[in-house]
Amino acid sequence: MVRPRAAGLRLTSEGSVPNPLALPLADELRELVGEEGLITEPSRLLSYESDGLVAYRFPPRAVILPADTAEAAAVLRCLHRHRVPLVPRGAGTGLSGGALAMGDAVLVGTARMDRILSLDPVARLARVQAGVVNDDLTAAARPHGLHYAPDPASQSACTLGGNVAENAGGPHCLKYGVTARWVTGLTFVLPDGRVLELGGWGRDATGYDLVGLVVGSEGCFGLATEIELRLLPLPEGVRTLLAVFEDLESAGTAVTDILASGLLPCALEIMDAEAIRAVEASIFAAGYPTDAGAALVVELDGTEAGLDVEAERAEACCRRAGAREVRRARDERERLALWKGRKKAFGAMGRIAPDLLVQDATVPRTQLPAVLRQITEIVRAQDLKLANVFHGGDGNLHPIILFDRRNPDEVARVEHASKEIMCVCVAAGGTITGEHGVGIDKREHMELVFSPVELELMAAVKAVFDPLGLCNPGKVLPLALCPPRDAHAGPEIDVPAVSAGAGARG
Amino acid sequence: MTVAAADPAAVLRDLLPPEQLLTGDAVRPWGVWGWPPRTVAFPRSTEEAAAVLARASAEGWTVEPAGSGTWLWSGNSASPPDLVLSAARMHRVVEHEPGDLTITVEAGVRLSALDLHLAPHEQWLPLDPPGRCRTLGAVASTGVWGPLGAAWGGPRDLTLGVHAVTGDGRPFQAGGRVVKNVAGFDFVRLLIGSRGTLAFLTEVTLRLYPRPATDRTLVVRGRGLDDLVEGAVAAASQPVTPAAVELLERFLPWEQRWEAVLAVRVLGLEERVRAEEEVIRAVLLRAGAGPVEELPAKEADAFWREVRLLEEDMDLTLRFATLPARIGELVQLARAVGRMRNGRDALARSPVRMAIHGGAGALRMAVPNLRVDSGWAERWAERLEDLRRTVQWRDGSLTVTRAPAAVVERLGAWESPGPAGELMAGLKGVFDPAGILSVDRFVLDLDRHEPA
Repeated sequence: MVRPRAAGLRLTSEGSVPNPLALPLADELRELVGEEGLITEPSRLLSYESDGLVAYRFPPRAVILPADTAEAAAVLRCLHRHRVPLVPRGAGTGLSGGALAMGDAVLVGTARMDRILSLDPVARLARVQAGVVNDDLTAAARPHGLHYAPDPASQSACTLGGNVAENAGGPHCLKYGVTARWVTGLTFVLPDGRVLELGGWGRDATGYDLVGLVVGSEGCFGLATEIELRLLPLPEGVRTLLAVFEDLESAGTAVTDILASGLLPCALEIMDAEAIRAVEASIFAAGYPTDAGAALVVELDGTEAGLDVEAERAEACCRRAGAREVRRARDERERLALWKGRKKAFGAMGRIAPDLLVQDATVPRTQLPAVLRQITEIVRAQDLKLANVFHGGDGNLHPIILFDRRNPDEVARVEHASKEIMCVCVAAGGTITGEHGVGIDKREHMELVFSPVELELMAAVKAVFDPLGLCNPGKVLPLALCPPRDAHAGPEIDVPAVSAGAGARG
Repeated sequence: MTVAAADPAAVLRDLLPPEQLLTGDAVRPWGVWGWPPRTVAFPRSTEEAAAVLARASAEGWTVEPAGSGTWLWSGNSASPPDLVLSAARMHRVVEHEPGDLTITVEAGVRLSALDLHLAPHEQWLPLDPPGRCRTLGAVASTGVWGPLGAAWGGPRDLTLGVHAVTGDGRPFQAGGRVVKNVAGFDFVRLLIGSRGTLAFLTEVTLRLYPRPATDRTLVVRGRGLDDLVEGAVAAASQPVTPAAVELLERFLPWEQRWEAVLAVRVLGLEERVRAEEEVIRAVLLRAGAGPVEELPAKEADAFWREVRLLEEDMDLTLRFATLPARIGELVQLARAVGRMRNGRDALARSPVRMAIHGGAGALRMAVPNLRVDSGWAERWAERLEDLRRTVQWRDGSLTVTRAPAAVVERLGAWESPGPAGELMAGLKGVFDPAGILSVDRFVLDLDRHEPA
């Protein structure tokens, strides 16, 4: 069901200059985290003004960088006492404006919490601080023949804490599942500074699955400081195919056939004609045929034996669906070449337009061809350029609209098209975001997929964790339902300290 | 629990046709721990369930959500509810688009019925939770899984969305029909395993997989369980992930009797199965006391059924969990339960049974014929409490999935969630503001706090 949206999306919102921290508060925080843990100089704060979605810019009042759970708890307790809202932030690679501190909020970053605390190769389990970079965990696990499965595109920069907040996916989550499947425990600091130990692999949950609830909550419930994650054996072998089709529909048919045949590839990635041409016109040219309608990258992994037969089956599915050409990588170099076009697509597109709007939505897989057709029409009607690069296996679309933000009329048309794309995806039985999250970017789209009762329940659940509404205010939920605190509602008043709750196994 | 003033059946007759209500003696089979409710109601739609719950909240009736009623003997014992609300008559397939590999069914659809529906489409749901007659609503609500859980995840990983009704009758949806969804807070994971304390589930959307073309169960016998434990750990820690690694004590296939069996189930496309089988055979050969055998299909079915029904008709059933690599320690600890029973004759006639999900680090134990002599309940509760502490100390958990009321009342089916219990009570207050759903049946902290 499609419900009308409340307010418009603003592709270019720039915040005003924030109030500096009151001196007593700044001193108190400096006491807790040291000189290197508190950033207040306006010039340095500028680098925190946006996340991966650079259209939204709000320089924070301050950035606080605790070094461990105890410091984070003390910081949150202090902010709570002063009633100062906070926004948790990892590497700031998110794509929904979720890690921005607006109004009187400060950022609490995990950059100094970057230690891998333990890695048990027998139990295939790691415990890390929230600021550990996704790739660094896999690098540490590789000598043991293990890896961490979720691989968001920003994995060389993004933190595991950020992955937890966003329930991050990646091309390989088709086979291995998203972050929630691999996170088994959290050390979690509530907005009032109490520390909870949640979950723990090997234990049956007692009570509700709070780890499951916290993963993907976009920093609205508190700050995860330590994460326990499961690791997986590195696949013994890998086979990568590139299938070239005359049109997107055939590529979609191939994807459906491959999955129905019992194969579970670790990636099924599709690029449309515009994306192929953009890549081939760029320095990232990967040798994809420029007259093709669609390209499909199929990757299979697992034990070496059996892989060739599976690759043959996948190739047969592609040919049956009308592939005019199927290339199979014979070695790692060729494999990387086949992937190159897909991986560099966004970069290539960035070279042909000043600005890109990368949308993110999921539809039931069988709806892909129809939805893609509708999206093309929508964008064409607004006289805009569109390219599609997406995770075909799980129906996760990433339409990319090219524009120039200096042209206000074009921006308005992009916003219009973007909203219509959301409506089309929801009408097809899909949802407004598959992996980028809601943040501020899509909070007003929430009413497309959720009823007033559902949104009220979400607001009430947030209030259980964060009764004062101090944690990542103004994100995820429509503003009308969960307004950010008024900057003049008495920040930095002195309130008696709350006692620190000691953590216990939960 | 005070008895509500209005008779639920009389009031509900305005909301449901008479054939959807049970009263009088007919409610007996729906007793919670044998204590019959005043009425059993069978809504046929989300709307009907919502109407019943709105009224129940207004009247202050306590409500026990149920499917086919097989979990009413599980969990903590409580006073009899005013109403058992069963999804048993909600058994339609709502939507199945085979190409999407997803299905939406009403909560009362049984696993066996779902399997029959999926077979012609060459699809399946890789879930094998313990027990008979399990409905999908109950599977989602309890979050339980069986041997296949190690490879496929449990209901937590296979459930994409639900339709549900809050304790005060507000229908809502969580999740959706797509396999990747991060819109809003993840209420699906919150509801999975919440055991009816937050909401009454009316529809469930599940992720499906192609039905495996080849399904093979390889076994070795051992002199006893301990001999095979290492093999189970080894089988589960290969680079290949078998669909299930199961250790079963005292499997009785027809005439022959095996003291302990280590079974590994490999499934998928024939070529892959053949490749993985080779790795597994080598592991099993090292672990066992005899040759590696492939169970014929009929025997393999019997084996996995035996695991599924391990707890049926048992007096005391327990579920231990730990890290898969530490399962051996758990076996040793669990042995203490066997020693708690008095009398060697009882032991010989009806042995304690164990099934171990090797890849997942879970151990299920079933004890028949508890001796009932004076002071037995206190003694059992005390010993199990000690055992629970020992298991916790080793980073594991011990859940009492079923025990005589006198034991479970003293012990609690679950350990306390600790400081997180306060948040849980707050969440309970959001979804069930009148506090009527499954009162005192789940972790006890939920009903002990005033909702926020």
